[in-house]
Amino acid sequence: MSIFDIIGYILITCGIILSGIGVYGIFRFKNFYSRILVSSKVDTVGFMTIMLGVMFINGLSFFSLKVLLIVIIAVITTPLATHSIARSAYLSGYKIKKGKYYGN
Amino acid sequence: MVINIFLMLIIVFAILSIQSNSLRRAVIYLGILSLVSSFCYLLYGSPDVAIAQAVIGSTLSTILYLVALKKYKLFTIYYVLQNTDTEELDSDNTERKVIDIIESFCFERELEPDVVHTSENLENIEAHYQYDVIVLQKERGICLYGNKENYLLDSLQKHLVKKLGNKLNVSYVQNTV
Amino acid sequence: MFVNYALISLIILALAGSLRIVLGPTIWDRLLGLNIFSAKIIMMIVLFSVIMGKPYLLDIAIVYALLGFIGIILIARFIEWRGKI
Repeated sequence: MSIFDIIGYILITCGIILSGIGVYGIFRFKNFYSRILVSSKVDTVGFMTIMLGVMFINGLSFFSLKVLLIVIIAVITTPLATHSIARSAYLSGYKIKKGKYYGN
Repeated sequence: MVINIFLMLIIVFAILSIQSNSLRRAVIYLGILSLVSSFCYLLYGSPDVAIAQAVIGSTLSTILYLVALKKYKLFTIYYVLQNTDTEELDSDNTERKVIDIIESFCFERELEPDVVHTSENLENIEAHYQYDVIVLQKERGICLYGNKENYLLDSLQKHLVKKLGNKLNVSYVQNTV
Repeated sequence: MFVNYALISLIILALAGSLRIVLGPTIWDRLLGLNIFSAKIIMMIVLFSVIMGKPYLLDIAIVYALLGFIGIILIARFIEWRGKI
């Protein structure tokens, strides 16, 4: 077990914890807009961290290059999808009173 | 072990997509069903079938279902929240009940309900948005606003009175615009 | 061995995310759950490919990442434009 393997395992553990926080966030908040804000950001960071850990485990190879391609695609597309959902909700008239669900 | 969980998930979403009343909900359930079944093909060791299932099930059939849903009629309901903070729990309960009754009314007449929760003024909604019915919750009752051409408003009020009983009094106002 | 445990914890997270699809009060909550679930499925495919040691399984992850995005965008636009596609 080399030093890169240990770094990779630590990064994968951090990524799973971040994804867990993102999944916990969609149950904690009562308001839809705070839910979508938290989950999109934290979940994308967790995705990037897990993929970085996988690249550290495999070293410089063809496998890591493909994983890098997946990371680039996901970093572009996941925030776009979340933005599209939030825009659809806002333009359809789903508006919540300010301060009513604040902090819950 | 792992594959049993995903096979059970397929059964759960298949039953949900058949049982759900709203057709848009069923499209989302079918999308996740095809995603999970494609992952099951991968676990069984056939990646070529998994790619074909991902392309066809996730994209092509979603487009086909949405084109078919274009023919379905929408019934837009604006629910205006006006409650104060003290009676939050109580009003939340009646809101859920009223929306369930209106949705069951729509499913009887083959309409697709589109419920929007908002906290704007009544005049603002009337001016800026396209609506079929605006539901306004007051302290001791519910008020329905709608256009004069909307022939469904009368039967909707009778349906609400029949289902709610004497707990809340339901009135309706028709605009002359 | 470590990667197996990571895969199992990701499965638990995906099940918790699919609970939001079943529960969600509005249709946009269900779309948010679908987005999270597809991200978890992509991670699971990459970790499964690490366990098996076959690089060609990563092609499926690329196809997923592109096509799940298109499906979510189409459904969100369909709701936004009130039935015109």
